[in-house]
Amino acid sequence: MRFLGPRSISSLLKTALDVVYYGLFSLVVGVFIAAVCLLSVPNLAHEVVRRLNIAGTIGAGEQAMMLIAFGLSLCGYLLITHWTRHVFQTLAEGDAFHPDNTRRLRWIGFGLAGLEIFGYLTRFVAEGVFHLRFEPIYGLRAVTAWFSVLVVFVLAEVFKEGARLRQEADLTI
Amino acid sequence: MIKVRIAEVLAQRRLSLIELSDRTGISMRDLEILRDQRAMAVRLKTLECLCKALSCQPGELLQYEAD
Repeated sequence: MRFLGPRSISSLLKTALDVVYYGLFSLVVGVFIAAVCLLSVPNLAHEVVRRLNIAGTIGAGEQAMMLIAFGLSLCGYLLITHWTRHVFQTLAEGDAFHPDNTRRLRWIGFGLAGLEIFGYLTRFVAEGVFHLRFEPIYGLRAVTAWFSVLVVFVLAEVFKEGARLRQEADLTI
Repeated sequence: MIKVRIAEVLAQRRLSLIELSDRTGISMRDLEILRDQRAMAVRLKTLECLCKALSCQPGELLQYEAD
């Protein structure tokens, strides 16, 4: 099976990413609706705390804030999936070194870095303000995300060089 | 920059780009890139085809101009 072009592994991955993208989109909408419901429906926050069997009380506003933070991180994943879909679309068309792919890959790198920083911030806020405790992230898990960010930036440079070579080849008569 | 003097040489010989494309087998798109000074490199083979079709020397087709 081919890796690039129509009916290749790239086009299969593009279809899979489309499904993930629309799934994430529905989830984001659901999360924001749930946040609005928490703020507008009386006793819903109390019911959530009771069902989840959480010691202590978390108010409706705090729950809504957590949901909005979760929704925002999902938005980040949505954007990353969006750019990845476009990259795979060009791969499925057999045009690997499309000039726009460099920009898209850079944005994916910035998105991943932003999500990681946002994760640290939300953990910090949740632990400080809501007195929640999270399992600490250490060892290989702590650096994996940053390694992937660096890999994406390196890939962006590879695509930039590829696009430059392709342009040079196009303009060599 | 190196300027490709294809338009001038064609005018001297009263030829069109289409006729040159027919004579050399070089596509119109590529000849337009050469004429519009957008080419980044010219293969020796291409230069040979152009010189043969236009009965000229490479020096007549290329000209150096200071930026």
